[in-house]
Amino acid sequence: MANTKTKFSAIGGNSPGYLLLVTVLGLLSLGGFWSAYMMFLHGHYMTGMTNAIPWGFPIVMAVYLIGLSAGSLVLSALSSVFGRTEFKPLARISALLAALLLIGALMAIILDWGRPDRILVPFFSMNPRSMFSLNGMLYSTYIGICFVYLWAMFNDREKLVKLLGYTAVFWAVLVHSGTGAIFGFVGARELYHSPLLPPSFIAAALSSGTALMIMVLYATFKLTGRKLDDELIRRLGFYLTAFIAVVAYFIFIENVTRSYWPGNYAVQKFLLLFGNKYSLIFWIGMIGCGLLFPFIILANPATGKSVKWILFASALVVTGVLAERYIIVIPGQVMPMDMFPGYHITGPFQDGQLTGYCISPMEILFGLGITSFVFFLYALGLKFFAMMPDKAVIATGEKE
Amino acid sequence: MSELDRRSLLKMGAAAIVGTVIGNGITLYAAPANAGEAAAAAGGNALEVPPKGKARWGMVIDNNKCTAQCTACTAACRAENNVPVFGDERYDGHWIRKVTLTPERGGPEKHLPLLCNHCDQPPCQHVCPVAATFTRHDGIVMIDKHRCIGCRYCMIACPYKARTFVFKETTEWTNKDVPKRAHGVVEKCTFCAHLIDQGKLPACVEACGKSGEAAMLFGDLNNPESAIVKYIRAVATKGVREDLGLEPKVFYTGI
Amino acid sequence: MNAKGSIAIAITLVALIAAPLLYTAAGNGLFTKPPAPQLAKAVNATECVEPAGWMRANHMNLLTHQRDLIVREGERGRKYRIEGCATCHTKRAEFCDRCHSYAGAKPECFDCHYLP
Repeated sequence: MANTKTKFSAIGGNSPGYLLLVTVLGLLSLGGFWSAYMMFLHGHYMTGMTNAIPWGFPIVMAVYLIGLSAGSLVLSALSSVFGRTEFKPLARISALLAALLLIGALMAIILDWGRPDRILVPFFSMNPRSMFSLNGMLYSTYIGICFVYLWAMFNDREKLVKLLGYTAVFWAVLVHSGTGAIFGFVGARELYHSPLLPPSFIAAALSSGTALMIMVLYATFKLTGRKLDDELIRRLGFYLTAFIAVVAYFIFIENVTRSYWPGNYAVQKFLLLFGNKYSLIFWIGMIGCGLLFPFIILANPATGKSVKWILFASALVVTGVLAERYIIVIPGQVMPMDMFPGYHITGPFQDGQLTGYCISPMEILFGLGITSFVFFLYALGLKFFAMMPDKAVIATGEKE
Repeated sequence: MSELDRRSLLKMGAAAIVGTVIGNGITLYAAPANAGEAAAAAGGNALEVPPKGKARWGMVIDNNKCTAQCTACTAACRAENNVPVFGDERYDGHWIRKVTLTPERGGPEKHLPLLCNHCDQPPCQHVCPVAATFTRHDGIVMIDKHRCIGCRYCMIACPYKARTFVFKETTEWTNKDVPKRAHGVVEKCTFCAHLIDQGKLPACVEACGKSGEAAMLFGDLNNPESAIVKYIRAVATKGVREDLGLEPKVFYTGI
Repeated sequence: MNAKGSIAIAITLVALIAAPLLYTAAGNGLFTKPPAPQLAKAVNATECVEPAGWMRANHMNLLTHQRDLIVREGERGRKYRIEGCATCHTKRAEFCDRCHSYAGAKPECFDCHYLP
């Protein structure tokens, strides 16, 4: 082992390109914080949210970022838990990114509160029955586990790394199930209430996270001029194909279950057939970008072996899963709740209407800012810590 | 009472609400069903408040008496509780609101007020991460606005759209005795808990009685002698979305 | 991480934290004690519900404790209520606000509770 041991080092971080990247990401994050401050100062009417749609794009971003962290963690655990040693050089950066994405998600949730200044209230009065507070505990411990995991890797504690790897994978299952449960456990809304949401959330998290990691790894190695074996990208692409298939299965089952029951025809027509904004996002964004096109690209031997095509498919998946998160969060609120079956209800509180939700510029800035902040920290982490392997290549003996 | 009596009572009781003269045998049960009379009998808008932990407040809304034009309850609620109005239906606060129900298969429209149902099993309370929503000793579901962090999970979980968020700072302050809300917290009907504690009826019930429609009846569901319990025993009432099993404490007749 | 980097980060952090403090201090005249606030005299009573000095230090704890009892238990009409303050301290701007701004306290109470 000693002679094949990977050397890790920090990147120089003095090139104009790096400084420009960090500056741009930093400015974008400042923009995001400014929008959050505006929301706090003036109230949430600055966003596209209304009383009928109390959860908007910040929550979409939060669950999206949580999902993205899954792929990073799995990549990190591939070597320590699943014995795929060829991924060991990537373990550090992926564990770092997993923690940072979770931090970004927590920030998105907290800055979206009406009163983010009451950040300490959950520590003093907590309702353990709420999925939100359970998830808060899961997320923060998960971030902690990721950092201890990183520490163990930095100090070459092999046994501890393995143990923490198992813990982190188990914890990730809880974290992503919990996030799905925020929506799945709400009985009041037809499009939310589903026991399939937690597992389907895990699946989509894995697919989007793997896709993100493919892109991030490629970009990081390319920009730092280090060698990343194409075969590694191809193997990740293979995992991605499998994850996409699982997501497709869950989405299929969930929608078929709902569509089968005549009482749900109205809801399913609204989501699938009306040709409104939401069904477009459903078909083009979630099914097309998230599942169908990338699957075709990856499963086709002509394109599935090409790194460029795998990168393109990954970009599609990352976009498509954002659409999927949007479809989880928004249409469930847009669809009016049927309080009086057999009656059409009208009233001053947008009763009985399909209320509209438009993402406001403020929310786009918010989402962009939080994401930029995650990658800003990632870029800083690469500079200040020995995260990057000198090269990530598969030893000739390991090639299949 | 025999089963036969009960059934005829139910029938007659229902007739009594529409405004017919009440027969001799039915008076006992149906007379206090009229909120206005009940209030008058108790002396103005006074409310008999049982010792702490004994009461379980509930409300009956008689949909047959509620008319399209009347907005006494909503206006009284806004005036009492400083519920914000911004002139934008997306952001206006609603603690109680009048809705119109049009039957899909034709028939007369129904008008009724909707408010927080103060469920015995409140989903909003279950999901609140900081326990800002709580059930008081008398069954009123309330929000501690000092503690609310504004995450809006309760608005997602409530099947009645009973909760609104304060989207902007409110400027109007009609009733200075009652606090207004700073922006960023969730608010909803409190059954006018501050009035109940003083032995007064909720503002909407009082206004409804004064408007002459007297479609609302408020009282203690734990007290078998209270007007509301007698009314519910005599007349078929129904809660909104009772199928969800949340055990709402606002009952409607005629829907 | 090298030593130079750590020192640079440490200096930046200290500067960032200290900047607003120094800014405020400079604006108020460094190290000069501001004059004590002129508070309006209480009317209708000569004594507060508790000794004045104790109230000065602890009124906020009283109010938050009573607040929780009133909101969560419905126990109204108790000895200490924020509305009760107003019976004697009739002008908030000349009593509460002056001292709060002197002490740099920013209570949220008056966002929602009316005190004349």
